[in-house]
Amino acid sequence: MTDGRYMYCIINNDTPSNLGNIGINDAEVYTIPYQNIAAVVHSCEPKPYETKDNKKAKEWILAHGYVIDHATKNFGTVLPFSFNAIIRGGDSIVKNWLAGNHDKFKGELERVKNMAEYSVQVFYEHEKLAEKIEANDKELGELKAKMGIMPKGTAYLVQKQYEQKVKDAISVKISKLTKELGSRIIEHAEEMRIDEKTSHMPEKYKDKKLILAVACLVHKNKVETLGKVLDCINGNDDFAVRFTGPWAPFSFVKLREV
Amino acid sequence: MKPVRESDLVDLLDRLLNKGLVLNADVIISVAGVPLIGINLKAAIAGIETMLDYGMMEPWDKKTREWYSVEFAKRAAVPMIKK
Repeated sequence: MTDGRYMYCIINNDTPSNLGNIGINDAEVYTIPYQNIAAVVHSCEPKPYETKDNKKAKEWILAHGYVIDHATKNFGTVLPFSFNAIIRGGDSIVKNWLAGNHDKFKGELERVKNMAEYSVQVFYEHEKLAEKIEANDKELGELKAKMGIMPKGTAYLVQKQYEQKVKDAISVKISKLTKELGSRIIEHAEEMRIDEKTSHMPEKYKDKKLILAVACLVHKNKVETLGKVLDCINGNDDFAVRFTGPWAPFSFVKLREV
Repeated sequence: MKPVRESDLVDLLDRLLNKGLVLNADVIISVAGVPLIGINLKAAIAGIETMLDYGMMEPWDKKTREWYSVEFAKRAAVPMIKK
């Protein structure tokens, strides 16, 4: 008995279509339209997908992502669902549910039309930044010079003071940089959100520190300019930029709970 | 620079498990009133990717419900920078 519908996304389209066996566990994915919007679903048991098998879990995640990408390619920007959003009931229940939320969905779809989510992460090298600060700060320089001619005990205390000052200077510098970088990036985005949770990073960023992690909702005409801005930041010795996308607007769907 | 889609799984995980639309309790599949959102799956993946900051959790219990409400609170609290 399959009286559940696994939800992938909501699209701007009014024609029933079959997207093929591209879903989770090769499920047949199809659309359930209501007026000018449709839900992209597969028919499933009315229970969540759960597994302790990592390989399977990965496949499911990738399949969900693939369906969203596929739908985006065919129907334009979609409203993506979180993993395991399953509606209890059949096509007619989904249709009723779409009807009840139609205006909200349509409004959201219009809002994100021709846009996609991009993620920008800016890294810096802590050591390099610390060295720079030490080299350029007059007060720190004087303090360091004094330490050389002090009695050992006093020098120890001053050393502690010195370290604290470097630490403070770094955090002031970073918060200044974060704001600067953020405002340069947001110029080219419709919206921006701070990514609080950041998953593990590719190997090449391992020894660097994250200074800024944001998700940006960017119009397709502005992606190139955003890329150029990021080039400028990336070209600076002190920073490395990771720019990923396009993604469906996961971070920008305002309806969270529907 | 051009945006890339490398290490898709990691980036997808962040999104599919922490973001996107979620259904409310009226329509989501639930067992005895407890909404489910793939707790085991999260745990299974967290085990290898060590990226999700939730601990292992037993599904179906009180904790699950609490976690669920906290999760929603967190989602709602994501800071937003308006242009």
